[in-house]
Amino acid sequence: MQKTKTLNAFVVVVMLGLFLAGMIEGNIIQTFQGFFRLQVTPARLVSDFIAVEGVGPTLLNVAAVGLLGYLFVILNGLQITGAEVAALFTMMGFAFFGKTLFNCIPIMIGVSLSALIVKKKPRDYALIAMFGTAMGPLITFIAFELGMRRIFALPGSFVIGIGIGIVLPPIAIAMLRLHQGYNLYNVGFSAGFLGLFTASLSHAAGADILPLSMWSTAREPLLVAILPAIVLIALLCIVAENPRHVGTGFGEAFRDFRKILTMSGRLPSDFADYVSSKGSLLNAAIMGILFWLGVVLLDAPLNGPVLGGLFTIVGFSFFGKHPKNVFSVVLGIVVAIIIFGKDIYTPGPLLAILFGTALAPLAGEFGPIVGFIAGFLHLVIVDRTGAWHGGMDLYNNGFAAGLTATLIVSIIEWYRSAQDE
Amino acid sequence: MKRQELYVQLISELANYLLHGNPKKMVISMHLEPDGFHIAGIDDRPRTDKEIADIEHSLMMHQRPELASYYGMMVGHDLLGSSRLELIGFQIKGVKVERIPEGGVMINLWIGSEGFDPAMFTIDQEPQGS
Repeated sequence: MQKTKTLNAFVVVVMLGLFLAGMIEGNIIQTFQGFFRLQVTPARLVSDFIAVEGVGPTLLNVAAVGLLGYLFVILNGLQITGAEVAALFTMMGFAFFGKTLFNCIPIMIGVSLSALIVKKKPRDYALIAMFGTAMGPLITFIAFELGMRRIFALPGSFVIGIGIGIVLPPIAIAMLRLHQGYNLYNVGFSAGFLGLFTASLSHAAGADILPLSMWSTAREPLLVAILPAIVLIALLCIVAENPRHVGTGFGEAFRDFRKILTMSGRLPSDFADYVSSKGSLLNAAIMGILFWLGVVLLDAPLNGPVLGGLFTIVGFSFFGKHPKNVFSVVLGIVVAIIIFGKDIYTPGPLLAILFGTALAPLAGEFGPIVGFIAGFLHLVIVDRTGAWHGGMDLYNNGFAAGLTATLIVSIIEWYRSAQDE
Repeated sequence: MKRQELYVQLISELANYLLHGNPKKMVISMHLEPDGFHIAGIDDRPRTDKEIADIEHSLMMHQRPELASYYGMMVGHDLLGSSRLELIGFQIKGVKVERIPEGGVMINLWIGSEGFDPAMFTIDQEPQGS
């Protein structure tokens, strides 16, 4: 199938590009040494790997985690479509600040075992496995921060990671029914819910988990160039679908992009499957460049977490986000930042602008006013949720967005039921 | 998932879709086979060719096990917002949408296990309701 081939090429070229960028950035041996040190580095929010080990090792980690996800998709016999691109870009994005090979693998094994327990195939829960790596910091915490002897800590962390993976699918499915598909980061909501229990258990045992604050402010030229390079790759993929008729190809892509703009984005809105790969690639290019420009014009840092946010936006531009449904949500967040006098350059507000777009389906389905309210409420609540799970859920914005979406959906459902009567 | 739960969810989502068109009449029937089942939804609302093509497009999504086993769990549960035939489309083995003489449409869905072949289904050869 042409669209699958195109998206496959897009993902592979991006991963290869990140790997090569990591290799040429500095001394190769030091890059690999830094990469191995990242595997044992605390990964809780906010652990900017660029601040910890620098650009080269971080890019190598991003490419390695992306390759892990890619192999998982291929081994499960799945095609690369919008949902898979979203999952792969989310995995890569969070490998800038939390995900490592070490802390992803046990969760992916656990979720696959969960599928086998209920007589399904691992591929049936493949998306939960990939998104579920949000709980990675818990594994790193048990293995390297709890102060246990390594001989117990390493296997212990692996077993607990598998356990987390086993319980994640039922929680993810239950959480989905709470917000009814209006929070794009459903596993973030589920992981936050689970994180509440793990952080409370840890507190009860006398080991309080405190969020970290490693946040680089430097602007490395290579990091500034990553997003435009991905946008360029997306545009070249549109050309590659029909290289002899470039104008026609872009014309079709624009026509399909306009179709995407009419969709609500509610889960599961696989734009590549429902509309076309060309349209979704153009949507990803437009979304990526718009948010990148926003960050650059704000003169905000382009560090690991911010790049993670931009990667997630590009990924979910194949699976729910488009300019029309994110605009009012972002506006709501920005207005809340101004009203409450928050500093937009600090991690909380800046990341809320990028990751709060998880609420886009609310604007897509119920209109911009609901989207604005959702964004406004999201900024208020995301400020507090990180502390609840001790930074163990990398998708803290997904957790906050799940709470916000559940609140809004409950009210709309109640109101509409009353209207019908 | 228990079969009975799947029947209820699919029927709910299909009913939700048909009811969104404000029909005056709606009939949903189910027919069980040894290796699968057939659900037919009928209404009396006239539809354009484009509307019928859109229904077919939504229901003819190819099988996506990773979406069906996860997001497919919302079928028939979450009825706020527009109904989503795509969620059904991830799970079915066959579909036929046709106009009926009364002016509405009949949506036929075939659902079965891995080895299920809708072409072998008896409903076309010997129509019967249940």
